[in-house]
Amino acid sequence: MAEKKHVFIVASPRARTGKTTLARLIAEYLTLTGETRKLFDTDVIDHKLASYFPTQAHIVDLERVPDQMKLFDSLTAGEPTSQVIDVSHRSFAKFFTLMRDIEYVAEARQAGRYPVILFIPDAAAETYDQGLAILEGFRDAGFVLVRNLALGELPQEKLQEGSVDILQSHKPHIIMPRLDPFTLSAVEDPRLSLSDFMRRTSTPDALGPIPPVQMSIAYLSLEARKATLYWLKTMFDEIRRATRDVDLQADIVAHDRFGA
Amino acid sequence: MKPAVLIVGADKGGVGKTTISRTLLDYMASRNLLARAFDAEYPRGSLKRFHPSLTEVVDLAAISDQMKILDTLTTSERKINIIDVRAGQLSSTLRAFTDIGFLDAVRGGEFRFALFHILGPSVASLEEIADVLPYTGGKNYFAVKNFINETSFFEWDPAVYDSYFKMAKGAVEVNIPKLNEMAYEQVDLAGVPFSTFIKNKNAQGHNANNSLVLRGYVKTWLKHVFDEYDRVGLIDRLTDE
Repeated sequence: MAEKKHVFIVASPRARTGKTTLARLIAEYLTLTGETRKLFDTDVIDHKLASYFPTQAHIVDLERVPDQMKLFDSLTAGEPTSQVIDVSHRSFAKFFTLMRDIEYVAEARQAGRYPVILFIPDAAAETYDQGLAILEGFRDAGFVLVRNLALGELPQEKLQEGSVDILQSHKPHIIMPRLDPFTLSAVEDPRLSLSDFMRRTSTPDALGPIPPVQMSIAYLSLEARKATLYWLKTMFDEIRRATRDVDLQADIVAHDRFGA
Repeated sequence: MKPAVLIVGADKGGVGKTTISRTLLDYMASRNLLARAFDAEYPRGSLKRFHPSLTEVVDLAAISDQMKILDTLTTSERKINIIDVRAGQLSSTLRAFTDIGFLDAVRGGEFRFALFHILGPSVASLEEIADVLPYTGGKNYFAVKNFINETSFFEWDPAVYDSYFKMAKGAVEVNIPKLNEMAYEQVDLAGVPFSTFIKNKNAQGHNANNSLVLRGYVKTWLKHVFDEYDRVGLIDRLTDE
């Protein structure tokens, strides 16, 4: 079977849940694996993904039809590439309404791309209801539940609620470990290329001299740099595993549906 | 099933008659009913551009063309006949059909008949209702408000509107929702039925390269239009014995 191209849709109905961080990590992960990719940022007010990839990310305003076309019609234009879409909390409802109305999942799969929704709830149980609606509304897409440990836990009495219970036991999922605030602020520096940092630190002279553009890392102690590296490795592993698992699930479903 | 004639008309141009006729042809096809269409915008026909194989361009003022429609009703295997009447000719066409005895035949149960009266945003349009209504005997009269280009009907005073509708007993109001203008334009450029555009085909049946987003808009809109036709029981009204 040919290598699958994925459309990674990173979404959360809430602000500050780590969407852009995850979208950025996926983009860097694809860089490391040598895949070409297109990046889309749907937040016209605070386009953070675009600030990490100023020359690569397309900012799209989902209220405008030409921008909707730029985003969704890119499926059929040019060579097949993977895509990363950062769905802002502001465009959350609009994005999934459009996605449903244009039957995006079916069209994407026909065009050889497999949409994977990475949903990040926060510590409010309502966000799990929204996540479950997405999971049920787009059965033919991959769905990954993302738990960002920095967002805190749900109150104990909410854990038994239907949507929370279903989503928390959903496979595949991605766990985003906490990062201490100081390291986090260094990682969030837009000038830092995570894939580049990863490459450098994976070589024998790891943690050696830092190029000037990556100065934010230079201020970090060796310990903090190790923590960053560990965190990055964990995240890239999580992304690889989740991607492999959604592909396996899709293959099993295809097998059940169409036979051997 | 008895032959059915559906007249689509208005006494004013630019209210979207042809667009409505196009949706009706798509609707009948989606419900597996064979339909044919007559485009009275003689000599050019804009309906014919979209549905060339189903449409014949006619001059409703010419006896020979009236015969072409009415004398073939029983022999044609296509039982649904959609007549897209040219702007300004609705009253005269209805008068002609009365003189021929067609509307008597409808009353006698020989044929089914419905009138899709496309209303414009002006009060003059309401006055048209009074002109046109007597011909239908109040039966299967559809007052169509076409919002496809976001026309506002605010010029209408609710009291005036209500009084006309009271007069038009049994009139059925049909609302055609707005379609995104970019999507509308692209279908227009493609010159194919809405359903063909949605399926991403061209007029020859080959794969087209229509925008996924615009196809989505057309599909959602057409579904709402079909839902509206279902809501008013259009098929039942045309086919009930």
